[in-house]
Amino acid sequence: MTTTTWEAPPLAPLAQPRRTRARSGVLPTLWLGVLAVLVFWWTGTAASTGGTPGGALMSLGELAGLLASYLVCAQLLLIGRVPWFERGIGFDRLVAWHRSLGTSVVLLVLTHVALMIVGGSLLDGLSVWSEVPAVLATQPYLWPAVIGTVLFVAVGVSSARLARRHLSYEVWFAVHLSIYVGIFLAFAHQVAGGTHFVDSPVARGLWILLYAGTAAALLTWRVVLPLVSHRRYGLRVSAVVPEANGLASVWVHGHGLSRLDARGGQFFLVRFLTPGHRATAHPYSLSMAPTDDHLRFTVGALGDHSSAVADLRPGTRVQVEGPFGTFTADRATSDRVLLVAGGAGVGPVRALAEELLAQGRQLVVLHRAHDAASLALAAEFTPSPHLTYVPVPGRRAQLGYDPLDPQHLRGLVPDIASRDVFVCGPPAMADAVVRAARAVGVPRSAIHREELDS
Amino acid sequence: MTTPRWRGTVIYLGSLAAIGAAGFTKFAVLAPTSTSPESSTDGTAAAAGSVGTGQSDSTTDPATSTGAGSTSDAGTTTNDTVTIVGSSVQTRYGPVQVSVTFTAGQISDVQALQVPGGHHESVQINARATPLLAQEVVDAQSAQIDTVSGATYTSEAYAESVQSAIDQRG
Repeated sequence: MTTTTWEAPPLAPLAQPRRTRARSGVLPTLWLGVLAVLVFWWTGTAASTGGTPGGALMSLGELAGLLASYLVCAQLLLIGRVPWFERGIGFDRLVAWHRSLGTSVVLLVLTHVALMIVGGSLLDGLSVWSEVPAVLATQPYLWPAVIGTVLFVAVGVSSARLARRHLSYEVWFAVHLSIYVGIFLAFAHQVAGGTHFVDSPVARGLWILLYAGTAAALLTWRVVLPLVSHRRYGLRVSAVVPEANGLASVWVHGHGLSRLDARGGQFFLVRFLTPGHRATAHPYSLSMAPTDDHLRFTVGALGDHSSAVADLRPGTRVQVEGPFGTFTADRATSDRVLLVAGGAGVGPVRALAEELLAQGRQLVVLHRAHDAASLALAAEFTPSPHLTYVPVPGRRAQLGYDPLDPQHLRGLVPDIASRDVFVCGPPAMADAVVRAARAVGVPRSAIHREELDS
Repeated sequence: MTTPRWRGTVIYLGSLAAIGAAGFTKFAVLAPTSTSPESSTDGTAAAAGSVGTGQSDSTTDPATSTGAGSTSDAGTTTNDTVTIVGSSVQTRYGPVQVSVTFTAGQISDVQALQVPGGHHESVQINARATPLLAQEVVDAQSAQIDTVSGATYTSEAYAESVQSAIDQRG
């Protein structure tokens, strides 16, 4: 398989410009759930519980525990590849929310533990140090919950920014997987010992339903459906083609891939089932609109595993999850579009350009790279009346200026203010382009960005 | 997309504020008005006659006044019957309080005035545990009773409240 050259198709009828997607109800639903937990605590708590400081502290500790427990389910659902969430929010933002809530959950769990111990010791008239063994001896399933808490803290610490810098992906991932054990261990003490559950079969039933529903969602969308599609599509590496300095295209062959309904600009979580790759799934963007039997990913030499794709043998089985991402052609609101690609960002930009052209839009492609030898896929941007390809090679230090600052950007694309701007590349470059575009008068709603960070 | 820094911590602090606000409203603002109806609905289910009057402040020990009330009550009956309200004992599931009825110096009956839990379903658990506990007390003629499985905290607090009633009788 060689790289395809691709020509601008004849002007197609202009697609109806679509507004950006409707606001999704996912996050409001999540906050409503928090409110429901508060109401649940409220109705299940007698005001006389607060008659003693110990009772009040323990009751608040229970509320902290309930919130943490609910947010754990929310967190799992956010990264559960639930289609409704993916369409409404997008993979990147879901992961970001998952991370934020992770911090909250670990802190709430620790708050719960502290309040239960302090409140309990006041209530039982014991010192804090003798309260702990006393509670462990009497409360049901508290020992497993203690182990679960340790796992929660381990996952939280290993995911902190500082730790992530020093941990390999594999170590982090292994620690992260252990959270399922932690959640399982912490569950029993909630329904068997929590004051809001021991007395109430209804509350217990609802709480079990929350956890069972979360588990079912995870099983469906993270285990069963990926396995089904893995069998159905039968994806294998068919070729690895070096494109430019540090960039290579991985061609993946399969059957009936149109059913994936993938679009240019989207990405998959890709896992190559071969030693050295098996443990990690990488977010790779399509670098051409997918055909019924081929996907192509153009991968940069970023990260330790991405760079090793050059060694992949044809025939290697491939597992994908996706497609993800909202960096797609239907975000465009104008019939004129500027695409800015940096480094490996040229892959999604190339795929996006294909679809935007098919919609009859008029494109300018700015291709930024350190040097001319790094301009991957340049030959595929065949100039036409609908496509202007502008390579911008050279490091800023050598050029003596930043070709993406407002002044130079306007020089390269005089009508930029009337265009949609799609930018894909390293975060710093994407930031610079967004700033420059705003400075020269592109409305925020017309700027669409995708970062490549791993 | 990078995760906004500190967003998780901000959400946590927001949760803490919500927890604090909920607790303050529940325990400080509403408590004075809702304590008595709450405990009386919990406690009077099985409480007999004049004993209920001792409930106005369930966290302090109301036994003396109630005991006196009950004694005068007992005076009208033919037997030497006196009912004494034990102290209210806090457990992690809520307060427990009993009244102990002595007939001719023997414990003849124990009634639960307050039992833990804010759910209606708590009635079910207590419907099971409290008769067992009462029977144990009557059988043992003391607070030296076995705990009812599934109601450990209630059992321990129950025994403690019974003991306080016995102590008051002297």
